[in-house]
Amino acid sequence: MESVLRALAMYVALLILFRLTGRRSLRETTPFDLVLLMIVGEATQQALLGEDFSLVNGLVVIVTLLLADIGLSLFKGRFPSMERVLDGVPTILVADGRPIEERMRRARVDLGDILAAARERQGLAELRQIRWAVLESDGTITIVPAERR
Amino acid sequence: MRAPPEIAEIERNIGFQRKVWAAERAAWAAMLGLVLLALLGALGGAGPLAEGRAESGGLAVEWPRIARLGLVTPIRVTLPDGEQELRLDATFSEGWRLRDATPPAVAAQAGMPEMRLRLAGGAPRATVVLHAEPVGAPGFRRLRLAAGAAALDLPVLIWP
Repeated sequence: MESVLRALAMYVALLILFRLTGRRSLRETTPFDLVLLMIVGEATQQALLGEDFSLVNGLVVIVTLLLADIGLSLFKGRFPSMERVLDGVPTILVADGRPIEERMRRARVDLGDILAAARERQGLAELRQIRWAVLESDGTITIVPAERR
Repeated sequence: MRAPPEIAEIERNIGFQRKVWAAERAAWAAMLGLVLLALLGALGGAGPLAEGRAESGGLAVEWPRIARLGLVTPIRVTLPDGEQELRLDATFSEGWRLRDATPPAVAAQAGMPEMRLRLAGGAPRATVVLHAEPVGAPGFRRLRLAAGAAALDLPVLIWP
C-alpha cells in the first residue's frame, strides 16, 4: 500500500511542480536540461522505491504511475475545463509582425526563441515575415508566416 | 487586420493565461520559501531549526527536533556522571529503528516498558551517539530518554 501512495503522491507533486514551473522550462532541451531531468528522475526514484528494490515493488510503482496517467487523461477528457488548467492554453506572442513584449517576458520567451522557431519551421529570417507566433500549450512555438494572408 | 477564428479563440484565453502566470510566480515564491526552509532545517536533515539540545540532571541530549522518515539521524547522548545505562522509552522501539550506536553498547535489553543500553565504563561521563531512523507515520512524537534519576522528554516532528 505504501508504494502505491508514494507513487500517487509523487505523480501529483511532479504534475503540479512542472505545471507551475512553466511550460518553457524543459521543452527546449539543452544538454544541461537533460542532465537536470535525469537528476530529477534519480531523486524521484529514491523517494518512490524507498529501500524496497524488489521486482514487485518496482512493478507496483510503474503500474500505479501509468494508471494515474491514464486516469488523468480520462479526467481531462471528461472535464475539458480542467484540461486547460492542467495542460495550459496557447498564447499569442507576435501579432502582425509585432512582438508582444509583456507576454514574452511573462512566458520567458525572447525574440531569439521566436526567430529560431521561424527559421527552423518556416524558413523565415525576419520578424516582419511572421504574422503570428503562438506559444503552444506544450511549449513549442508555432509560426504563421505573413505571406499566407 | 482581421485575425482568423483560431487566433481569435486563442486571444480570448489571454485572461486565463494571465492568471496562470500569476500562479506560476506565486509558486516560484513558494519554491524559494521551501528551499529556504530546507536550508534552515525546517524540513529535517541538518540546519539550526532541526538541531535541538537539552540537558537535565546531567543527562544531555543533542537530538533532531525535526526529522524525516527513512533518514538515519544521530542522537548524541551524554549520561550523568557515574551512570552507564541509558533507558529509552518503549515508544522508541515503535517509532525509531536503531541502526547502530557509537561506541557500541556493551549490553542491550529491549522490552517493556523500556529499552536499556549499557555503555562501556571508563570515561567520567559516558557519551553515545545513537544512529536512529524514524519509522511509522509522520507527525509529532516524543523522544523519551532517561539515565539514573535524570529524564528528558523531547518533541520531534517527523516529515514523510
